[in-house]
Amino acid sequence: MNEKPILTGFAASQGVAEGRVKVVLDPHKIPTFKEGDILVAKVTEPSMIVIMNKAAAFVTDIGGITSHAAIIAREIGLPCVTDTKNATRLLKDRMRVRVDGTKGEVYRL
Amino acid sequence: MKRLTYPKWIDAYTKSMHQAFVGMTPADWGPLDFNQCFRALNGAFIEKLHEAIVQIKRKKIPAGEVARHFLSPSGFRAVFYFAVTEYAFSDHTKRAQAREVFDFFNGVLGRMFKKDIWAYESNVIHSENEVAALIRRTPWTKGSSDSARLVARLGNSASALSYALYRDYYVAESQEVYGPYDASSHFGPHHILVIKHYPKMRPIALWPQARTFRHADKKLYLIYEGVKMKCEFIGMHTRYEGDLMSGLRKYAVEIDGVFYNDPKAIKKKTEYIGGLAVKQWGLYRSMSKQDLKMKFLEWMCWSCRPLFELAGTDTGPSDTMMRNLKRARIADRIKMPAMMSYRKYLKSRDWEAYWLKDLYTK
Repeated sequence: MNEKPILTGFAASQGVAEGRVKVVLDPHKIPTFKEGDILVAKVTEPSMIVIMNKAAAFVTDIGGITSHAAIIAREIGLPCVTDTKNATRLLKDRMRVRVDGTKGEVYRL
Repeated sequence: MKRLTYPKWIDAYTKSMHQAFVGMTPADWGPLDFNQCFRALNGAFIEKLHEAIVQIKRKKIPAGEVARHFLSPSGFRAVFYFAVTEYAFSDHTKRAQAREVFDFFNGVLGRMFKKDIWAYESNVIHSENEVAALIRRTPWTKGSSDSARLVARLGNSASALSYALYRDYYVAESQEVYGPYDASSHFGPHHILVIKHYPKMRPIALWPQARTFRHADKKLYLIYEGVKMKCEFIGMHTRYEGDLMSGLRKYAVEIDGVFYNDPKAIKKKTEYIGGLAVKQWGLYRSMSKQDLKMKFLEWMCWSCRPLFELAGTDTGPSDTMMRNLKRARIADRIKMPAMMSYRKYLKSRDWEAYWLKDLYTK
């Protein structure tokens, strides 16, 4: 694992999870999403609820401690990093990452 | 220097609002720039509220009675904020009217909540006796990490449907989190009760297709040990300290008055409600900007429908509201940067912390 995070943001929900990235750019076009994937989006929206219930962690470009992604993540005990500014640009589909929701950091594996 | 003399509630309100925005921002809300909508209205909804309040007062309906008719106290709190925002963006010609509306809302909120009416830390509408009775009559199921996740997913699906029905500004209409309530006398030290309530989930007047929705009301009762919870301005903006997964000791799921404790049944409900949320969300794709503007007005009026009904005034948008919004240019999203510091916020003419005091002083 690279020791330096490739992304940092707001530590919105504690915990650590590893998985493959799935970037969702259009909330109206939800891609195939496997159990344990890492959901990466500009912001999360309710249309993503089905994949949010399958994800291992959430990473978003924007959002604070009471943003949609942060609230949902804390409710189901998943790590969440918000306000990374450019997660949807830097993270690519199928990239393996570790999301540290306690520190607000994302590492490439 | 002019000395400002203003009601004390303004300090409590502005402090709580600032905290809420610090928690929410940076943000990207939709499906319209609601601030532009409030600006376009130029006080037309405040006028409608005022008309209703005059009638309520004429009929001598007490604030407690008004409070009793609102199923979403946080939604009412949010409506207060929207009225304040609308006034902030207006031409400020109706100062006395605005003050009367704000004072009335403050009075009703004072009857809705047992403490902390601006939800700086909590969202408490139940008395100790009510909590004790509720704990006694609830058929509890033993909690575990698995059941915590199961119930949380049901809540998330309900939350998603709520967002899909009311979108980002009116979501508090159908999502409440009440608490924290001390449950230590029933369950032992360091136990709290948190109640999640999803009312108004079949709003046929807003969305005719909701007629087919199987459920209108969902409640989750959760007993945690070693968990601290707080709310920020609206109930659903919760923050917790402690592990919600391992800390869940008991839970109960109530849908339209029926309690469910079979995990399979709860999972089925979760999938059904999640499916409705996705379908409901899809409806926005076929809506034009004008449709969305009218929907915004419907949401706005819906949020105060009990008030209009009690007053006997029209429950729909006024002609002025429709005219003002129809001709306005409104962006698709509202993008909010990170919130400024509390010191700057207090002195900023753009925020209510500054001008609300001014409104009451002049």
